Amino acid sequence: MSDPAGRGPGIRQKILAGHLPKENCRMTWYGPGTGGVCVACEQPIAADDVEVECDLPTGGTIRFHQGCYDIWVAEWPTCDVG
Amino acid sequence: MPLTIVVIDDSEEYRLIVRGLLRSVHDVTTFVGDAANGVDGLALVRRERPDMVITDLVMPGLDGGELTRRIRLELPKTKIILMSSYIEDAYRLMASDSGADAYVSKQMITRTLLPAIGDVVRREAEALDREAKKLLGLNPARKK
Repeated sequence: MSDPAGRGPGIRQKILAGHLPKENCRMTWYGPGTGGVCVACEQPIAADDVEVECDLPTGGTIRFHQGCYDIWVAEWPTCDVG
Repeated sequence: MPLTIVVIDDSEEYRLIVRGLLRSVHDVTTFVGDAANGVDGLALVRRERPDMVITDLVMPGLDGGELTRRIRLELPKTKIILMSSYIEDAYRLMASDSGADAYVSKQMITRTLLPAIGDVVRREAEALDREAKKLLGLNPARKK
């Protein structure tokens, strides 16, 4: 997983602070950006970006840039200290 | 073992595009057949029992949403990815209600399909891993 924009630490902080969930999506949608804001980096998702919408099993939908989504799914399972 | 995949779409063009994309990951996937409508697709799925079905959402007759529901009932472990040119909320809701694992926009299929396949496979692997750890009485949390 590449992170050229260096977003990983910020996304990890958000997970640890409880601002991003620690669970897998029930369903994901992959398509063009629809003008929303990425929940991870808080930047707009442009129409030529790939947007990933995640329907959470507990309800609700969150939107990411594809790159931010990849970072989130790699990070959240490591954020529980057992 | 490669992931076995069935492709269902009434558009021959998109069946060919999906097969082409799968060819680029032939080391981890095996294309086991395709169908041009939902009824033939369901018969193919029952016969081949693939690991994954990639199907169009909007098709005449048996559409992708209903096809997904039927596959879910008969083969609950089969992963399902819906594709469509329609990205409006109503279609996304239709996809979500059907129980599909992912929904990809055909407008960006060359950029979205393979990541979606990888993501669905990853989620399944993590669910199996958690289940195995639960059975073994291990803490599923991982440390970094």
